[in-house]
Amino acid sequence: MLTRLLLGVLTLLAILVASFFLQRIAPGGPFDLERDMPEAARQALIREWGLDRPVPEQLGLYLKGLCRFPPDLKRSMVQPDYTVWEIVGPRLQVSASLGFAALCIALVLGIPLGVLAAVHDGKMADRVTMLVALTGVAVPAFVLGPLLKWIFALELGWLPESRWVGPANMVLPAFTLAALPLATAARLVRSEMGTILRGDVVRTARSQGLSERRVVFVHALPGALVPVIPWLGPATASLVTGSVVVERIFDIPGLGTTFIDGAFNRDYTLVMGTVIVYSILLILMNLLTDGLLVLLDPRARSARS
Amino acid sequence: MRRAGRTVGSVIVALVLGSCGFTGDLSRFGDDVLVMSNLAEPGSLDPALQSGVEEQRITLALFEGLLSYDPKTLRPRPGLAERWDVSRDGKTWTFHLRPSTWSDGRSLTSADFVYAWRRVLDPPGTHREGSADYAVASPYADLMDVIVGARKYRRGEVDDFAAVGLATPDSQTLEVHLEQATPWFADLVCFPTFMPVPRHVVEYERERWTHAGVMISNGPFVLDERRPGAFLRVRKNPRYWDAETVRLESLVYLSTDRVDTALDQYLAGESDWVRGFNPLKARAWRADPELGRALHAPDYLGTYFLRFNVRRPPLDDVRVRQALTLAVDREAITRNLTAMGEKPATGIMPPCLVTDPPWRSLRGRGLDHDPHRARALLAAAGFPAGKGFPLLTYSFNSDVKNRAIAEAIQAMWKDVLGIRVELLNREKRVHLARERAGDYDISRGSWIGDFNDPVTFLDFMRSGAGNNRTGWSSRRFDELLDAARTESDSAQRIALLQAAEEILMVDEAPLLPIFHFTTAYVLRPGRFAGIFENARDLHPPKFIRRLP
Amino acid sequence: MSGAVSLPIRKSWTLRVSFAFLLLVGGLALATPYLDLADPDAQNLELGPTAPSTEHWFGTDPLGRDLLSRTLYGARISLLVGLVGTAVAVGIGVLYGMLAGWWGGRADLLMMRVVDLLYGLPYMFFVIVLMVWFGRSMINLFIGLGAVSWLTMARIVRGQVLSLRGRDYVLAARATGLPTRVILRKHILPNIAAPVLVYATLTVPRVMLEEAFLSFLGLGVQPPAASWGSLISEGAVLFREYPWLVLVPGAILSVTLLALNFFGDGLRDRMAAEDHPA
Repeated sequence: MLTRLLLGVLTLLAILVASFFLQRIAPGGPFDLERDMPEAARQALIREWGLDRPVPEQLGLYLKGLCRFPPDLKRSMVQPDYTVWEIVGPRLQVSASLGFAALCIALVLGIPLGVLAAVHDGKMADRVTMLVALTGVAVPAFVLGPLLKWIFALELGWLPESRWVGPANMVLPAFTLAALPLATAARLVRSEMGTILRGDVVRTARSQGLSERRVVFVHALPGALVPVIPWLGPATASLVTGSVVVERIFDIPGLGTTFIDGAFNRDYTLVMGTVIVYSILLILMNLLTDGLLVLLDPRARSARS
Repeated sequence: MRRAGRTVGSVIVALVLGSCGFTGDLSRFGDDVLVMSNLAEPGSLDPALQSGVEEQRITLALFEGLLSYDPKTLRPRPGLAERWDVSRDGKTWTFHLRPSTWSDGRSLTSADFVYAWRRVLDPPGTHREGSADYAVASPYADLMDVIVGARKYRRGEVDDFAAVGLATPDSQTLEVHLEQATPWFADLVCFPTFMPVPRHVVEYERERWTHAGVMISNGPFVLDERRPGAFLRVRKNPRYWDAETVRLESLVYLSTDRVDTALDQYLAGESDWVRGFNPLKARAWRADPELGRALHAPDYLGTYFLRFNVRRPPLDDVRVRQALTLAVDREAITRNLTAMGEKPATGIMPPCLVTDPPWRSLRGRGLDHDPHRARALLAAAGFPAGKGFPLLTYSFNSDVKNRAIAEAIQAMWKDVLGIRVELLNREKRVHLARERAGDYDISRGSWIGDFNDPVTFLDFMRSGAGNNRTGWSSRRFDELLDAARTESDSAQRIALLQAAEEILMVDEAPLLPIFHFTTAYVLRPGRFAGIFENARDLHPPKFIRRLP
Repeated sequence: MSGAVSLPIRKSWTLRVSFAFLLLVGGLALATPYLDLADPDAQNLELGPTAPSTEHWFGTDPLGRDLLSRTLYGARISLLVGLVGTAVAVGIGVLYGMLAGWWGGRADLLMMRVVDLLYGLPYMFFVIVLMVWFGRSMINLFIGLGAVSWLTMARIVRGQVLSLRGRDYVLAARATGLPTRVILRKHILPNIAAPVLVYATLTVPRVMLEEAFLSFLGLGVQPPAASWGSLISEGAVLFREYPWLVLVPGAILSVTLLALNFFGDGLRDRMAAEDHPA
């Protein structure tokens, strides 16, 4: 466990270093505007931000700032009214709540749909369930979002059309965001469940006269989740840190847009801030899901016995 | 027991919802409100730091300079200065301030202006005698170059601020000495870069001074709430000197950055004014009487063009550049593609630029669409029917409109001249970096006038100027601009500048003008008064009122 | 280990229909240049966007281009991208995940941290730098797409292998001294085929849509050429004004993806029926 944590920190560090260099290699900088800014002002900014120093030195200074408590994420280069944390913090809140809602929808609907389809393997119920689940795969979010918005907000007027005002605003974006992971979960569960239902474990359980429901949910389901769990780590991290497409369609002040705008503007500090948040989440989620995997299937312990 | 459970439950629900970061309902702000989709998150609210129109729209509400724009004509009218005198040689401007205060009640004096302007000119990180404690790198500092000594001071060639032509004979008078007679100086002082900032807040709060609850300003409105990524709200400033004129209770600027989402918000009634439009939707909107009435597209002081990299053959041959220009049917582009009433361009000067005497357009006597002449010139340059013409690249920053125009021009060159160009779409910063480095053949660009004078559309193409980026230089062109600088007779001056435009856009053609911009916006009909179509898309919120 | 239950191989109509449909789309895409179609790049600015008609079956876009031929030419790019991108994902992902899972222990720990690292990199900068250094060719597009598409696949495969590694029949095979290569191929691979197949079919649309973003950044397909991803993403915002621009290519993409998924499922069912358990 301790090794894992230590490795996690090292991974984070590696991500930071690599991202830092990647950003600096990409052409264009935060202070290159369409209409040139006066050279003296540009030079002053470059000096102020230390961009004239060698990149490794800049990196060292940045990392040193991170080691402080609380970590110093610096000021945004392009939105200098705010520190990176003042921008990222509230947006993480928004993205996390939306992403969490979407994740719940995806798992709560996706897994049972997958089970249902596997149990009714090949029958009509299977086909219909899978067809529903598959909309998420077959209809991209940038089509599904406007479509849902058009039907439920603009035509029917049941739900707010955009912005982030209250819980009602979560519904449409959460479902749009959930569509793909829902389909993924359903498909992975259905496939693995199908295999397991034909296998030994289930046959043994059935022969003991257990109820079918018990067989499916207690004996088969944990195994069927084995392919879902590893996918869940990165999927959660990316859901919780926001999706540009959904945020743009529904005008949600989330983290996905912050990252992409920061990247387009070459807002080095802001991009690093979002990379840190995302990476920490990713590493934690992967740690968690790897643990979950062992829990579900004790034989899956990674260490050699 | 059950009651306790319910309480706990509702506390949990409240906690969960509270942590969702909801940004609040706008309907609670009452009736006298204007909700505007500003189409971008503002960069900084600091007037000295502004570079985009999104911020300028907010600044016009929060601050007022010496003079301010007339909402209809945009001609400068008294602002904080109740009157101003210009010396006979046009070089000394004296502004007489009216008594006024900051929004915290502190009185505003001519020293506030000197401080604000000095802050713009002082580069950050340089510690000079008495310099602004919290200086910023102002992207428009060069607008102040018309002031005596400002350019040298700004570039660090002079360290003494006394060398800059500013004087405050008393607390209500500001005297400005200009290098040359500058008729557009009245226009300049309306610009954010020239607006006063509250030293007592700026130096104390530094970067945080533009936060809600901290910010002090002097305009018709004050900052009320700021939700990055969602919206920004200003409310009426009761301490504004002309508060009676201000009719709106508050103004909301939505940060919605995707224009299509903003248009949805308009359709859903969540916003009344969208400061942009998707031109690909024009046909459909115009066909709808209700929507068609909401759609406006006044001429805008800007030109869309292509840069030719004249350092690279065959673009070093003026005949090739002229042929490429002549081959483009700009009317077809504006009529069918941009479709928002843009005027096809032959020169660089937009037709909505007001000059005295009026500007004589190059249309009809410049490089208008002429396939026949285009082919002849290309043949004369050694590429009959495009034979042997190398494969050039045409780069543009990724965007639906740029892409459509590039595809159309690519097709025209193929049809008319028989040449092929490769289209390269690039991410914006990459595009700009490449353009600046001269690493392109043909590159999309545009220029927006900083102020209402022809100089702003010619100066950027001077030999070696940072925004030139084509490698083109012409001594004659530079000389004409220099001569115009010192020319005091208006008609003579315009004649010199017109000759310069002719060199740039006809004789030498380092730029291929496509069209003059319009600014499309969507405004709910019959709901507001005081918003007028004008050439700079500036609508001082002070004069906007809501109709009953 | 226990005697294989030989389930009857069901006649699966979905498998057949979806296979037939995929063949049709693939065939059309291959044959596109030889069909008598309008030039996909020929503009008619006066015409502008028009709804489907007898002259333009799928309608025209805002530049007056024929949407039918743009959709078909777009199919060539999108299908190629989908296939290659997914092949890379499966190829690297399965091999990497299998080895990590099989070796386990420290090797696994390190290998998976490399995966985490690649997840964490800001993808957009990766693409830009790739382009700056190596140009904007098709090959680089595939590298750009393949670079991250295999990560989740590797995680899934590794999870499966970890779980299979301790099964009796695998332990038995090891005890008999079979070389690792053979065990992996004979005993592990068939048992992870199902989730691999399913996830592969899920990767195809991801890669296809990703291509639109990369072409926005300037990598790969350049205008005026179109792909399904770019047609649909550009049409999506004009959905209320000119619905056919997104509905027509969107419907084709959706049906293709549905067919692909049903095909994948059908294939998996057949495999499961044929050789289960290993």
